Amino acid sequence: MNLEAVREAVAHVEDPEVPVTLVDLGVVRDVGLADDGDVRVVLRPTRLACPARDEMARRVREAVRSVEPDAGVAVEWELSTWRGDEVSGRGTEVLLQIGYSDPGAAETACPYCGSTKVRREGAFGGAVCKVPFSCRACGSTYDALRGSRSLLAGAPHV
Amino acid sequence: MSSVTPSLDSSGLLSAAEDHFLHGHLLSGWIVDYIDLEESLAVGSIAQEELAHAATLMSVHGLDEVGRDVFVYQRPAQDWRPTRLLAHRLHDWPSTVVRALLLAHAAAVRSERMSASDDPTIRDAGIVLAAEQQLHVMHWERWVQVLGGDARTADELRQRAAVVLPLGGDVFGSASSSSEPTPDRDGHAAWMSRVETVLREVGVPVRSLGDGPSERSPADEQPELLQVLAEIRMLRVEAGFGDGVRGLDR
Ligand SMILES: [Zn+2]
Repeated sequence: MNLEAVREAVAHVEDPEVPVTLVDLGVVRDVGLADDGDVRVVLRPTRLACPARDEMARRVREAVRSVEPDAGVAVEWELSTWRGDEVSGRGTEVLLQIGYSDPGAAETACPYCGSTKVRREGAFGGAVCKVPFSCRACGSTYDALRGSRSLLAGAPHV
Repeated sequence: MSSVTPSLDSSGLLSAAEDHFLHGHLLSGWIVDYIDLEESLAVGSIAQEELAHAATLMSVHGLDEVGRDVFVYQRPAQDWRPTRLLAHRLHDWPSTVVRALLLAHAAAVRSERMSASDDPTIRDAGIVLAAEQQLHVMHWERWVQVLGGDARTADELRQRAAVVLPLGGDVFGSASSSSEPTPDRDGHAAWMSRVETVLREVGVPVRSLGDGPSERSPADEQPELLQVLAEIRMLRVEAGFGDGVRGLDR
């Protein structure tokens, strides 16, 4: 078993909704070998009800088998709260480009003009992991991921 | 076929899963019969999360994909013992809000207690569930304040609450059919004190929740619940195997 090749393959798996890898999003937590020799991949859901969980698991299994066709693959979902401040710099760059606010920033800002003069447009967006905002400076609407640092308990704008 | 009954559920996880599942199902009706678009998104998300929380609790109890499927779709209807709050459809918005407030606070109390468990799986699940339920609590509290704070809706909210609250006395009641049911008095008291803080502000007394938890009744004594369960199973058969709650937590 070439575990390095398996890790490399899993590192290329993208989220089904945004063009960011699951590693850069902080969804892939571990890739290793279980006691029975199966490849064990631990994922952390952005929200327990994330509807993309099945598809993420399918893509991970497919990636593992692309380099180890005969390997058993166990995808495990970790029971923990996903945090936006664990998104990588590369992942954050892509999110900003496609209209999400910086998930690791202490204060939410418009991804288009950078203004912090923004308003939360309700607590629920088009998906369980999204919170809708509008920018008072440039008029754009954008989403923040629910686990963003600026939306965690104790942060302003909660 | 393995048979899973709430009497096997010493920790109350499966009983809580029944409540979350039915609440998610009943709430989802408001996605298409909505107050406004924003509320449609909110009930859609909350209903979806209630189903996911049901699936999570079943997993923590040890049910796998197939076990979860059996629990919801194949277990005899008379084995269900949800709170009486969920044995009625409740056709108006203020009643739906009051029920959701009671259930969100109950879920918060329950998951916070799970997060203090010595069992690491129960503890980890409790921490995530408590964090996610906090969003539901905030949402339903806001609705109680909106309806209770407006002269045009306040009276109706109080009238509806007077009908809904007496159904909630069994939220922390024992679902067990074993000889020694253990009602959760501490849970009931903690829950009651939280909902009282919110409801007192809008003139809704919580006395009718009772001094302690009342026992839950089996579904076969509750015709409307049997109807709802039949509806859930009918949808499941038409959707085919591999869908439904099993798909939520693979
Ligand atoms: Zn802007």
